Amino acid sequence: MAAETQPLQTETAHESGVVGVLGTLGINGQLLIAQLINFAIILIVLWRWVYKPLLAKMDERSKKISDGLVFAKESKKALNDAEVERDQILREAKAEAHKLTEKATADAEKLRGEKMVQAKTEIEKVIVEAKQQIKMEREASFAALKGEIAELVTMATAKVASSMDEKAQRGMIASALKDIENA
Amino acid sequence: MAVSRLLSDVANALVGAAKDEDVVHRVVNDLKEVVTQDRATWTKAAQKGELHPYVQHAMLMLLEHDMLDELPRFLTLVLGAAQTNADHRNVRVTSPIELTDDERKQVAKLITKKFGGTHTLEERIDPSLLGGLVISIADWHVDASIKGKLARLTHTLTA
Repeated sequence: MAAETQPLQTETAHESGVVGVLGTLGINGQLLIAQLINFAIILIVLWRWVYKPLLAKMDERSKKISDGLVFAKESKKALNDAEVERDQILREAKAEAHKLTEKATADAEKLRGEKMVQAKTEIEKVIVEAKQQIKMEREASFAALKGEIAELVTMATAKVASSMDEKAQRGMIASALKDIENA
Repeated sequence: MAVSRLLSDVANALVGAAKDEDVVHRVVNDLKEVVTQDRATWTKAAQKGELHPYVQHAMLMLLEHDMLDELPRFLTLVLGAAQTNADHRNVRVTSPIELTDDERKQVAKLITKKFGGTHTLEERIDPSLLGGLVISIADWHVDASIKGKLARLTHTLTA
């Protein structure tokens, strides 16, 4: 009993001392404690239903912003890639178009050359045929002319010979004998 | 075949005998006359002794073998044999008018100069020659006529 009484006395003495200090400072200890409790309650309430949701919202917001930034970065990268791919495609298209143009030009040149050769061959053929035709016609004309000349000479000679007198005939026989002798 | 052989043998024998006596020219001429005449005419000529005895014998031989129809062929064989065995040629001269004796001599001189030996002239008249003459000896042929010259001219012009 004496032992139980000692701490109470000490605590009381202590409280007496605190009260004494707080009291000196004009602070009501009990009121202070009550206020502390109230403050704690308010702090807990704020923490639980204000600060924590707000923090969650802020985190979520930050995450959204971060995601947006990542998305924007990826979009920018995709855009860059698309631009690079577009440039590549354009270059390839230009190169292909250039090749096609060159091929078309070469084909056209080749075709033009072939057409030129063909036209030249045709012209030469026509010229050769025309020359042959002219030659044949000329030869035919000459042949006809020569035939007519031969016929005329034969007729004229026959006419002259038929009117030759004996003396002329003897002269021709003598001439023939000379020809045979000299042959 | 036997007929040909006989004709050939008689022709060769005739030419051989004529050559030995140097009467090929006479024999050939007589035979030509016979060929161009009918049988009665040359028989009379033979009886008158106008045909050379060798020709008469040959004719009798042909008569015995009933080969008088073969006379033209026989003459050809005789002419061939004369040229081959006796250096005697049958010269065919064709002219638009008949040759004079002087022209015949010229032809004979020409043939002798070219071929030597002896020859018989066979003359033909062909007015279509117009002028000049043609000489043929077997396969040797010279056309110096106006007709031939015109033909060659025509050939040259139209060839």
